[in-house]
Amino acid sequence: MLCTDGVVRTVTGIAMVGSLLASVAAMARQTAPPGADPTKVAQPPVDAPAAATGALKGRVKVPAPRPPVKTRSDYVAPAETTAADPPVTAIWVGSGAPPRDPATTEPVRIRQEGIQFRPGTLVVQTGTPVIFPNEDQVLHAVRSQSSAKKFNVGRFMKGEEPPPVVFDKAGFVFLLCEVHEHMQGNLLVVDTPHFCTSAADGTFEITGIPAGTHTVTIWRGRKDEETRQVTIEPGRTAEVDWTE
Amino acid sequence: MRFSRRITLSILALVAGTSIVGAGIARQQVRRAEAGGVAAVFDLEARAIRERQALRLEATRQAIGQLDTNSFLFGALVEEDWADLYANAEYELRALRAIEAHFLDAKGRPVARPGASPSALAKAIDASALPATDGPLDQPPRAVCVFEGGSLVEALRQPVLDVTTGEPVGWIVAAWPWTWPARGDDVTASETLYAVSVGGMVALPPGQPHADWLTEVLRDAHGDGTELDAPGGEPFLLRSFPIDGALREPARFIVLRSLAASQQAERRTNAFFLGTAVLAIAAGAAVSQWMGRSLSRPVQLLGDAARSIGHGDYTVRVAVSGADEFESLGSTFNDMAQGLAMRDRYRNVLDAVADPAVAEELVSGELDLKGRTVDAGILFCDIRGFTATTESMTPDEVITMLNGHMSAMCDVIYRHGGMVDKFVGDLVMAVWGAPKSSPDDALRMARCALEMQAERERLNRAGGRPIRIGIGIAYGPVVAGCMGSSSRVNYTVLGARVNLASRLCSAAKAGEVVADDAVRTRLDAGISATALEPFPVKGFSEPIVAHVLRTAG
Repeated sequence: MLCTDGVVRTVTGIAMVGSLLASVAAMARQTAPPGADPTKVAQPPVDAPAAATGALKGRVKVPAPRPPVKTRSDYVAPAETTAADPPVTAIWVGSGAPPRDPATTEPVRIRQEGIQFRPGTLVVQTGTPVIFPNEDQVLHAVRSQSSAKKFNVGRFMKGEEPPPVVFDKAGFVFLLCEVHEHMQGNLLVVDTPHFCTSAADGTFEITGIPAGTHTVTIWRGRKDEETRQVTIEPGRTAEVDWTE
Repeated sequence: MRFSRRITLSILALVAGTSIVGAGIARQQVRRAEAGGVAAVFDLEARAIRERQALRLEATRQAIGQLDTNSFLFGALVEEDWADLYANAEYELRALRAIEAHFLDAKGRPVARPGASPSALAKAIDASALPATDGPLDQPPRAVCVFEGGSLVEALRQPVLDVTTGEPVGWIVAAWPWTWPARGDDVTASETLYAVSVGGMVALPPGQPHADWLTEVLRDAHGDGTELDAPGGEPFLLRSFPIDGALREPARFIVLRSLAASQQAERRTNAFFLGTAVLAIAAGAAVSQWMGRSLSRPVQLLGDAARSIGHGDYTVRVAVSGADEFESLGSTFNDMAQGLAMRDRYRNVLDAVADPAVAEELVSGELDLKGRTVDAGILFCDIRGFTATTESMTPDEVITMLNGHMSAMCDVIYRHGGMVDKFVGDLVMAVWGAPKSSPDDALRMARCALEMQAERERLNRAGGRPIRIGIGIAYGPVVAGCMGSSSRVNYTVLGARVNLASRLCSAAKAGEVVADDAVRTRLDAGISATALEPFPVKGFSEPIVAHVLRTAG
């Protein structure tokens, strides 16, 4: 943290409680460079020689859009509910990388907006802290019962930023809102820095992949996951069509 | 057949017919009402059972519905984390107050509690009853009936849905003991038996009578409306309707309704109608007897009276009281009898005051009341020396003597077909040829005159005071007709011949019959005529030739 003593004193003078301190710290983190599009965040730290890396580019199948639901459930979604993000496919290359240090890793955000998780599908590397800010006028309570990470951030209103959740175990985390049952989010925690989510049309691109032959995992849903082998040549972009 | 008997029989037939038809209709109505009552009670029971089941289903659905939208259960089922699932569901499952509650996974496979094996009931429900899928999503959740440990259990299953897809991610199964209709909650309870049959198994409410018999008899299927006799002979009417049961074994709810009460009611109704019919027939018999008599008695009285009148007894009167048609008929009859009696009296008087032949003709209306000229014989007969004879007699003796004489003379005249025209003192005038004429009028008159003299002689010889008579007869044209004032007339004859007969009578000596020449020319051989010297007669210009008649030989 790059705060001066004066600033610290001022802040201490204004904020007498720790929680306020935490929120100030969070705001400070929010000042991190913008352009942090979640789908593009998945860039590896540049600690490997650039010359030894290549890129993977191509197209994959995306999950089928969900048909209109006829349900017998008593559940009724609030009127303000908007459409969920279109389903996309998660792709990651390799496995076995050590987790990132949460203390130094910039947190990733999954918002609740229009009573949906946005983005609807996100991939993070193990050790990444994730913040779930509420952008709606209604209460949300983000939680998961998945074995990869059982958590419950509790209920938060708009503007009350909940504390980050660090996902330290690789696996699929099914995000739910305790209040709104139709809200479902897919968080894929992977032990590799090389990942992305496809565009809605299935196109994707991952750069900075070390040269060599890798196993690529293509994830469309909880029980719709496949792996492919790909060879990355240094300085080159491997083009694939995995729509079949 | 007698009139009264006909009336009695018709009224009896009417009463009996009405009673029988009425009783039949009423019995039909009672039976229909009873059948309707049985059907209504059954329908009520059936509806109550269905409603109870529907209510239980709805209550359960709502209770499970809380679980259905429970995000934690959904999450645990999606993650297939059974420990997490039961940990999260423990409180809610207990709140269902079910005797068994557990989950099925998305494929309908039972999910056991971690560290516990499924109960026998859970196994029975899962094994026998519930289908793997729940049918179309818009179908209501199903209830099933299964037997476990000899008792009936109703199980319900509710899916836990992924609300974004509508697909079940798992199921909740809960079971309760079957709820029987409360006994004694209505008046029919003691007459109604319940049962549920699933496959060959029969479940009965605890404490219900006839348990062994029902278990035995309900093993076989029975159609609706079957009558079954319980031990002891009490008849029961069976009806049943399907309820949700194990899919491979149709389940039916059976209601047996005792017919004892309705049969007793029917017997009572029959007895009542029989009694009513008997009473009605008895009353009808009495009424018809009375009516028959009251109708036939006046008729008989009238008949008897009419018969008496037919025999000439006009004094008969019928005693008919009341204010009905018979009374009116009776009084009319009495008036008629009175009128007839009056006429009879008039006729008798008429016969006495007029010649019977004239009276007959007058009554029959044949007599021509206008005067007409006819040839007729006229006879005058008077007593010689009447004044001298009656001088010493009392008036009663005179009348007695005169009446005796006149009656004897009239008898003779009637015997000879003459018409007694009038009596004047001791004189009697008779006519032949009016109002009815015949060719031998003059001859009959002459014979009559001779017999009158002979009769008088015989009577004189027989004793009493001797009476001597002279008779004059004449024949010729006279005017005959009813003569007199407008209010009173006499049928008589007028003319010169009448005067002549009178003069000849005066001329006749005692015991003589003096006739004119016209009579003489009409005599037969039985009578001889001796001519008298012609003598002048007052009113006639020429001397009259007359003859004394005698019986020839």
